[in-house]
Amino acid sequence: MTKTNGTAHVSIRYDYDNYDVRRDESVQLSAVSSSGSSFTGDLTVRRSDGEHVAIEMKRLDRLVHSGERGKAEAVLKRFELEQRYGFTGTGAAIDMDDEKVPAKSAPSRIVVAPGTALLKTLPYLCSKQVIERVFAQSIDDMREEYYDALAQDRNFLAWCVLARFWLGLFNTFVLQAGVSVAKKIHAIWKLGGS
Amino acid sequence: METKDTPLPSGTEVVILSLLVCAAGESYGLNLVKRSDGRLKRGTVYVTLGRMEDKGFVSSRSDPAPDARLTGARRLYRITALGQRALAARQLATAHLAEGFVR
Repeated sequence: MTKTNGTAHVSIRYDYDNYDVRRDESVQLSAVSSSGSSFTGDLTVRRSDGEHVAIEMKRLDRLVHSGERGKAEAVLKRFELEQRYGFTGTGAAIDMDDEKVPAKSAPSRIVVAPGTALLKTLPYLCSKQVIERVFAQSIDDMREEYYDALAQDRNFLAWCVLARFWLGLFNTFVLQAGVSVAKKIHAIWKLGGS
Repeated sequence: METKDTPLPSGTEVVILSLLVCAAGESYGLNLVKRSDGRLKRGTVYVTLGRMEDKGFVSSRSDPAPDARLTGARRLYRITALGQRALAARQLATAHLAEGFVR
């Protein structure tokens, strides 16, 4: 992979109807992760075929230049991209030196955020209020730390965040269930006493 | 200061209340955990915050930030007047206890 001015080359699929990007145009991109954390970065449009746009983005240069295009792609795919003027889409890392910009029908890899299956299962186990107040918040926290670790290319730390989350979840379950049972016993005891 | 009818918060609750007082506004769970120097655990902070909300020590609201639209909104917690009184009562009780030991 060729280094050019110390910037990464990534392609972002975008909604062409909402935003008309032009070659060499500089725009600011806001990326919002599924956990709600965000980053912004300046990028320069290098090529557009109406469906995809090739850009330079300094935030991902280390990943792409170290030959780990897949990781850069994974990081991008974990972010919903939102340009301030209605530019939306998901990203895929490519090499600017490649002549081909990905085709319209290029297969995309969908990365499911950690904790998604748990969030789908929880409604069968707990009340909506408990999910919203306790478990959804814990999952959001885990995702924020997990994505931050991935974005810094610290895969082991990301793995540790996941492991810590599952261990912590056990504590949460025990504490939540313990408090609920204690409250019920107290309520029954009060009823019996009155 | 009237402390007679004010419920005393537990040790963990005191930590959370102190951090919320220092935050001088609203804060969310992970932020509290990071600022607690290991005194709060990720796995239990939200259960404790929920219990404190039931007791009236803290109030919470959903974060309306646009960044939160992709997932469930974060809950921001704020100390209530009762929480401030409870914290003050606990600090007063601790001070009296320490004074008793010194004597």
